[in-house]
Amino acid sequence: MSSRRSRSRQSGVPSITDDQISDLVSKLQQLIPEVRSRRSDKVSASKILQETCDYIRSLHREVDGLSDRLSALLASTDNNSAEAAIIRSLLM
Amino acid sequence: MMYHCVPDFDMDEDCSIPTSSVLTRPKKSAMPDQDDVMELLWQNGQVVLQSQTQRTHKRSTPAKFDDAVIPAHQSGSREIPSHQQQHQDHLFMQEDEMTSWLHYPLNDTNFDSDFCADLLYPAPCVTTNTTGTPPVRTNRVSDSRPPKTATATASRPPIPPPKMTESFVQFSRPRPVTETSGPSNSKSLMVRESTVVDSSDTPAVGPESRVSEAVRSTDGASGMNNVCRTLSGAGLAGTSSAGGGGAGGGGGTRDLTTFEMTVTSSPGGSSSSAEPAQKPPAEDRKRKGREADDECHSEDVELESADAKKQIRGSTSTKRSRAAEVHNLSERRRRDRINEKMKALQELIPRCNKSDKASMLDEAIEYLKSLQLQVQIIAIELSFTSMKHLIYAPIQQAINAAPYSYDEALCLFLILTCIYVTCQTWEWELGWAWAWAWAMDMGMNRPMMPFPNVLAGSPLPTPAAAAHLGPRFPMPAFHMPAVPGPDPSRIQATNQSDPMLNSFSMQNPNQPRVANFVDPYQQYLALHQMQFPLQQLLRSISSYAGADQIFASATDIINCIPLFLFKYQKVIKLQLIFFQNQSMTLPSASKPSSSKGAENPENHPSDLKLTYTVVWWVRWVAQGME
Repeated sequence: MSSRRSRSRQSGVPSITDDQISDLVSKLQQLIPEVRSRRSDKVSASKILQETCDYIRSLHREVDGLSDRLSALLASTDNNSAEAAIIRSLLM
Repeated sequence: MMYHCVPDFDMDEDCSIPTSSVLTRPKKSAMPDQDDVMELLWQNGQVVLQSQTQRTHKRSTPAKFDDAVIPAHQSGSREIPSHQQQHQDHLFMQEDEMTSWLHYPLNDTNFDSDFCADLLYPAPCVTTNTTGTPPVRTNRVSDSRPPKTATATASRPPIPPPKMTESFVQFSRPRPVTETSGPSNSKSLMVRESTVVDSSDTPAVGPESRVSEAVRSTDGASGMNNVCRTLSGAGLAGTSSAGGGGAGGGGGTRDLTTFEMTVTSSPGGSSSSAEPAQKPPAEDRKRKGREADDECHSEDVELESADAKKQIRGSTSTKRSRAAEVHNLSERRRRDRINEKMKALQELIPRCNKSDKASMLDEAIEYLKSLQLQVQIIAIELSFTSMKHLIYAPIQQAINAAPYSYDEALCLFLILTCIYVTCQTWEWELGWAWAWAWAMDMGMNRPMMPFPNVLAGSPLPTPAAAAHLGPRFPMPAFHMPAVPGPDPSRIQATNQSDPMLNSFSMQNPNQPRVANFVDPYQQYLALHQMQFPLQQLLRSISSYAGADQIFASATDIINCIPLFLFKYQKVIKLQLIFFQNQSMTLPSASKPSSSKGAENPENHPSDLKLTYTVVWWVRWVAQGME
């Protein structure tokens, strides 16, 4: 498709090479599990960027979820002060 | 008989030990659920109330939503609760794996790659149970609890969801959505977002949708920034300030997601599960629809150009110009799409002030890597915390545990302590020091072990003493209960026996470091009263450590610890580098040759406690295996 062929020409900033952009985009592609598995030359930059955004958000959620679990663990062990001290030291 | 009990322990604990193993990005399930979420949609120029599933079906046809703006934000917004739900469920499901590596030999060769690789590159996973997920999980927990009580923790509380509800009540944002009851809340949340997004149907209105999302983020950020940040920072604190900084940095956007996660978790019931099940397929179809839209659009463009060519036969220049026009048009649309996505990406990356695309992409890549690491690290922390939390009680019951081989206990403890201490303090040498110290304590016959006393603030050992071994580092003072049947009081007393450490000569590892407890000779006797299958323990430890070979003895494990730590070190340094670039406050960076200062005093007691806890746990396991 003609538009795909010229994908690399999308950047309007002259100082950045198209190869650079596509290289970065492919790096991103490698990092994102879902996109990586479907690796092909046809994966558009737009899709990769989209996947990146979503992936970052999901990682954020995971981090928050895990943090919350840690906090919940701490809260649940408040009865045992020694334990709580241990876990609090973990969180601080 | 002995080792059979270990699997029992496994199974009992399976459902309850959060693990650090495969943390994957939840794969969108393909199962639509009973509850049909009604949405306000902008369709064909009108606001239409539609069920979500209906809408997604419609999207498969060449639709008016030919631009990426809507799907981007819709999928993002809808993905959040579903992902969180699946994520919770998925994390919960991983406990089996974690427990098994703790207690059971795994596939040696592949485990390391699986363990680390999966954490670094979470593979999409399938959420098997999407309907009524929280209740299911709670049930699993409660089911596993009674049998576990018999053997293990009596006091382990249920898994977070109810707690999260309570603790998250304060997370009410200035947003219109304030109620915390299930379906209506989630639905209204979705409706609102759909409305906002859908109102920006055309590409020309694209920036508006992003602005609205940014506004929402800002609202949430201002409203619950502190609370969120505290928790996130707290949760990440094992990675010390790096994690906290990351949480704070990403707090703006993350508040949005956290709140949405809360929203779905607070119902704690079928309502939240109904949505996640729906959203993934909706999102999948949305994405596919979007791709199809792209292709359809491009095909339309080509059709147009073909038509143009047909109509103007013989007028080559006009045909060419028309084709070029069409081409430029599609090209411009592509560019717009991609630019919008770049901007969205830029918003996600904290403190991204790069204006050019290449550096922004660079930053995105680094940030992504660091996020992956962060997840991994927090998972490890969580697993260790949970382990401590789990075993603390039963271990106190298992004071008079049966004799166990100190080789086994040593190995296991070494690995776990190294990992734990390292994750806590980022002090690889420190973790190793713990292992070494314990090995020395147990008479591993390693001469010239440097044992500076951190708590007393004493300087490093004499260069001569330290010359034999690579790492030079301060070490917290601790003592291990070396003999079956020590009482906790003596353990506590040992915590303050710093002067003893100070007085120890380096040449006598078997010296009275454990004099508090028992005659070292008795202690040594206890070493070989074991019935624990050494080989199995060694295998499991080696598999966890990622070594390819099976350790023949405890000494081998000790020798491999640095390698294992090094592996993790590489993984974690990446995150440190990223945050360094972000000019954040770093935890003390780990360098093999540097001698880091003493950790915070408050760390020591907890490390000690973990030490004791681990030992007790090993004993308890051994007891169960008789």
